[in-house]
Amino acid sequence: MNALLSEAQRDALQELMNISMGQAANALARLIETRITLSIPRIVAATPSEFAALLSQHEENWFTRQSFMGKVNGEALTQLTKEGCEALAVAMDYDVPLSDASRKELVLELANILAGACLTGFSEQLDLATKLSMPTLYVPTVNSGEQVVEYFRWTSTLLLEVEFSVDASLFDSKVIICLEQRSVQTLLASINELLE
Amino acid sequence: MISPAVFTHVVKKLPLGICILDTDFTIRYFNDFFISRLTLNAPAIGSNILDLFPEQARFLKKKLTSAVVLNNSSFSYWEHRPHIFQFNSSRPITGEETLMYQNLEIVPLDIEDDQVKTLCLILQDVTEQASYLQSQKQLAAQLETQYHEQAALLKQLKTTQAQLLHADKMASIGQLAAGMAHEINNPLGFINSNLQSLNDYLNTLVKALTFSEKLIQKTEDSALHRLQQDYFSRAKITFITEDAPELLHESLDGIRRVSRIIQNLKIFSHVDDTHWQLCDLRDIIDSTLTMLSNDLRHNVTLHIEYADDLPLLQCQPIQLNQVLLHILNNAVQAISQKGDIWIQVTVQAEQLHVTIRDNGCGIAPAVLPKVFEPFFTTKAVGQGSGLGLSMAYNVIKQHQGHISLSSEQGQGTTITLDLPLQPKLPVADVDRLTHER
Amino acid sequence: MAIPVTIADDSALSRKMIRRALPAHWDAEISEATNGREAILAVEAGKADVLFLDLQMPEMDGYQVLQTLKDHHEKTVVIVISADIQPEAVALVNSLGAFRFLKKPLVASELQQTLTEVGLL
Repeated sequence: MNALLSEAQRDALQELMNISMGQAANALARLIETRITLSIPRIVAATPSEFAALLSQHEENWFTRQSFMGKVNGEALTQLTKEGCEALAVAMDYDVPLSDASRKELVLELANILAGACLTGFSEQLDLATKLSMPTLYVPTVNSGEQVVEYFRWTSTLLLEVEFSVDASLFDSKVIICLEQRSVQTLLASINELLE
Repeated sequence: MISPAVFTHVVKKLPLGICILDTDFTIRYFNDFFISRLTLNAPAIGSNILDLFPEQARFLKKKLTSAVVLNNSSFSYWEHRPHIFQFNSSRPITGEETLMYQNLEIVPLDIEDDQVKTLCLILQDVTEQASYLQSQKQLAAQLETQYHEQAALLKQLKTTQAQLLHADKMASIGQLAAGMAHEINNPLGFINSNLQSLNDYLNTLVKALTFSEKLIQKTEDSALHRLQQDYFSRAKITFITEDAPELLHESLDGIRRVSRIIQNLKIFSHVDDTHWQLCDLRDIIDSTLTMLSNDLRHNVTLHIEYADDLPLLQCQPIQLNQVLLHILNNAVQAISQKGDIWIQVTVQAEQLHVTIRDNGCGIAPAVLPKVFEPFFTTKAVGQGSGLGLSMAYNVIKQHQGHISLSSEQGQGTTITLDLPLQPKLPVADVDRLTHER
Repeated sequence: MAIPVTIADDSALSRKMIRRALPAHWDAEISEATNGREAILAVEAGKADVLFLDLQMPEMDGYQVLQTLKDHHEKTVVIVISADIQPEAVALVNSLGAFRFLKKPLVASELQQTLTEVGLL
């Protein structure tokens, strides 16, 4: 990675994400009354082809996207396994079996909770207020790194990736926070302040 | 500096629904949007929003609780839940919609010590957007259907065009053949009769020669006798009298063969004849084999096996003739050096079951699924139009029969035809048949 | 005499945050550990009368450290400082004999309050 981040910066960002995830997981766990397992967050400087590979798994996964604006701007992509989503429906007080519309509603709600908690957590710690917009379902159409470069305004290479899985279900989820180039600088400046 | 009263006024007049709630969902404030658009009685400040909208209470409670517990905005989108609150339509005069389409966002407003204290409910009228999107979707679906219909039509058109092209080609060849047959038939007729007469004349002349020879011998004039012997031997009369009848015989045989070819040309000129009649399939096969006899003679051994007492078949004989011609032609072409063709006809449950098998080169598995497609051919350019089997397929379909092909590369090909003895004729043809009877 | 204190956390930032949250006048001899194994070694070396302990760590996690200390070194005062704040984590930590569970991000006043309660301030 690591023209972009120094080891100290990477460590700091990872720890901040870790704390955000802890808060997010706790919030979700309170809501659905089930323990949430967290992975160690990954801070990745992804190449376009790695990013494309991630998005190519849309057979098995739902994808949602939400933009966020404020002191830092970007988009949060949430990947949720199709399998296991249904199992959370009852915990989230949805009538099962799910209709097509209510399934989408559930997916968007879960994505919003996870992405929202992640973003709130670390933007609060860094004092970088930002507001998440309404999530929408997203069917990625990019198949290769070249297409990512062509179709996306691929300026940022910084991906913050966290994984949640719900104990006693097949549900697995990943939140990817993509930052605009300028926001990466803002973020790094805040981290540097913290590290002083 | 703008006074807080101005902001209050702005919020009151916003074209958005704004409603502020306590964490127990008691309404603390709502703006004019709620008052003017709600079909219910104006909700009183201080009442619980869940009581005011009992039908949506469960959903609202879930969304509100999520916002409180998670300290995170929650959303609802019209596509999944179009009408949360029963409002008047945003287009009561012209619109078809009787209900307002809504997007909802619930925002944690005041937060103390990480605890949400008040919530703000922001409601957006997206009826315009929703009906636009819905009509777009409808349009897209319509276009999709039309697209598929047109694609199917196009495909049908292409098949028909190919068949027409083929039929047209066959018809022009037929016309040419018919013209030629007519033109050749005339001279052929008088050549034939003249040769017959010449044959008779020759016989008379030979008899006359023999008679005169005998007369000369009877005179016992040795000089005259020698003169005659000498002349006959110089003029090779003995050879001529022996050879001439043979020449004539060969010529007559040639003429007979030409006549037969012309006869077949005439059949071929009727390729567009779709006349239905009761036929003996054996006759049709035999006449096809005659047409191919030249190709068959050299390197192919024919094995023909007909079941006893084959019933008559209601069919279009000229069309079946063409089908068999294409199949047998393919079989002949598949045999490069020496080979066999087996033709077998049996009766199975009111159907004639015909198998035509060769031990030629066979067909590659990759192209096997395509053999009945129009214009598909493996033959060199100019050798085949790629229409033979597709035409055969269509003719057999016309006969409500079934054609199938199996082949193994290097082993040979088998074509099977199943023809119902009494296919249900198209109405027009039935009329014609009864008329003719 | 300075109190031997060890901060065990794999994140440099977290160790720094804990150091910052400690009262400036507190007379402590501070060591650092970046995983559970190092934390145990610090305890065995007498460098940790007080142990600030993270739960998610490589090699040996916080729970394993707590288990080991419970079996062999029960005198060490362990204050868990964790990002996983779900009730199950708190309950497990308490059952393993930790003195207190503090949430990340660490609030300085909460840490000082805790130290006062232990009688270290």
